Amino acid sequence: MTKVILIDDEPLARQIVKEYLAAFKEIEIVAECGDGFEAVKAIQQHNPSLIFLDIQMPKINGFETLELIEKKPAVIFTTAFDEYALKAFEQNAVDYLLKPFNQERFEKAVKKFINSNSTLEKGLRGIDNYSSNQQIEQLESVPKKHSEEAHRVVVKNGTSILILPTAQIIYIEAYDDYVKIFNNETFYLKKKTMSYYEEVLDPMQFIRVHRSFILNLNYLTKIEALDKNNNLALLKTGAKIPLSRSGYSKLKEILNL
Amino acid sequence: MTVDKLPTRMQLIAALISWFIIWWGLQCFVIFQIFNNINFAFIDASISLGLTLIGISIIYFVQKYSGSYINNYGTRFFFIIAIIAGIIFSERLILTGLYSGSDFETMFNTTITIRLVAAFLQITFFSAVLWFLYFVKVQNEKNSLKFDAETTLRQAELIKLRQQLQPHFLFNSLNSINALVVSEPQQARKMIQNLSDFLRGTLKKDENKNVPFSEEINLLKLYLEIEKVRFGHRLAVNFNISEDTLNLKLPPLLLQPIVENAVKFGLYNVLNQVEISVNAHVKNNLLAIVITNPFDESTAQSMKGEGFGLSLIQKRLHLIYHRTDLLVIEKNNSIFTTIILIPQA
Repeated sequence: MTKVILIDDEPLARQIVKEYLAAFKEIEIVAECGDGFEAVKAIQQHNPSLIFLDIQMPKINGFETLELIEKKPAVIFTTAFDEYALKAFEQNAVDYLLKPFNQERFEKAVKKFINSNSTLEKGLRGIDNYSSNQQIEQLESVPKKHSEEAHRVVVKNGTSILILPTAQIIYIEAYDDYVKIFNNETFYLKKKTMSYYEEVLDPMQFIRVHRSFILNLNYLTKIEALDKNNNLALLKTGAKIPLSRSGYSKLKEILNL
Repeated sequence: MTVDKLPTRMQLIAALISWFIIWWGLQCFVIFQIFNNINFAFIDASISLGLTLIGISIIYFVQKYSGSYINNYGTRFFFIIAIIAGIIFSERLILTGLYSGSDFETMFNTTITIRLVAAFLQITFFSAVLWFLYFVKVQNEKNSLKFDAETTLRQAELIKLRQQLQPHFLFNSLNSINALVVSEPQQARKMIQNLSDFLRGTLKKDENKNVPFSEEINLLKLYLEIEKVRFGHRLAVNFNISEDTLNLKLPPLLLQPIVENAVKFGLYNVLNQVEISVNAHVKNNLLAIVITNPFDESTAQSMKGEGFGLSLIQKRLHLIYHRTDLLVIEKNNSIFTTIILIPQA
């Protein structure tokens, strides 16, 4: 049996997926969720191999929900927003269904999942692109920056989920495959790259000052010279951040020094 | 530079006539002092005034029909000199025709300085006035053009906003209908009817024509009815409309984006049940419409689109009523309140 979870804040939208899925005897719906928080919990509990995911949902959107899941299942996005398609395929989505969709189109998406699942060894799924380039080219290109991500970061704190406005982020530090996002009290781990945040966050506020550090300019109090080639940024919280040579000159340029 | 209040045509004509009468009297007086002949003074002053008026008219018409050609310093200077020379020359021609004799010739030559000064003052003064008026007119035209452009831009923005919001609403509603067709065909039918009525109501509205409040309320009810089907038990709607507001008028589709915002904001910012309320009453000759939705302060600042639709409504109200105090926003106790005031004529 293939375990599936439906995530959509509109009950009727879940109902239609459920109805279409009835044609697949080998698929079992283990949970239905009306928002991202429920979804994160349900996915952890059931460990499904496929989820149907809406994008616009209460509090946290579909992409943010996905970020919070460690062992990612295959995803078929279902949404009325065609502008997120490119981003969806970047997240290795199996397919992207535009509401309203018919049964034929829906079954094509599910079969795509089943086929790719049987050809790949279990557990190796997710790395290969399910999507063909052709499909991406058909979609209008969209700006990579979605305003939600530019204004907030969704993080996990134990079992609870936190929405962190970017204004509260003091700095970000690279940490192996993760980054540590520091606020006033503590830090949160997130499985993202430094370059991702460099790109997504407001470049006038968040400066990549070092290979391993991005700092929020609003918290900068002082730049200290250690010696000729080494500088430190002193933050309001007392934290000290090393500046690389290029980071130092970038900082100087932005501060008009 | 703008001049909001130009004098009326009658005031302008009266001022001009008195100006010329005074000038004529002055010239009579001067000539009479020199020649001690009142008859001659009258005729002389009249002729020179007539010629001056012709000169001013020439400047006026040339400026009017030559466009900007005359409006550079060089051209204008030589033009004024030519007009003055023309006046003096014609004056001499007419006067010598009337009064022949060498006495008169010497007399004319002794007064030529006065005549030159008089013509110079008149012509340069009116040339300057006409030039000034020309610039005011050009400036006003530019401003009104700019204003028109801005209005058009706002309207385009409004249309764009409406188009941006509706497709998602439309597609999601169609998706709901798709589900209902099998499970609840009657409900599906009702939804199609509501959706059609709503779309018809929003499509045929003329932006510039006010509509009865009752019509707008019906449209809002249709919209919220559809949203209630989509979001099920999560969305509750509460109308509290006082009877005396129903026949009042307001610009069309002003409330629609506010309610749409309230629903979106409520549904995507809060996890539990969302209650939207729409209240309306009359106060101080204003139709006051109060729309509330729940919100969560801790995440509200990171929601996109907050105030986006509202600023456009603010602009639209400003364009129509020239007031900036007709849209009020309040946030307290996790309730977001939008108040719209519509002045009643």
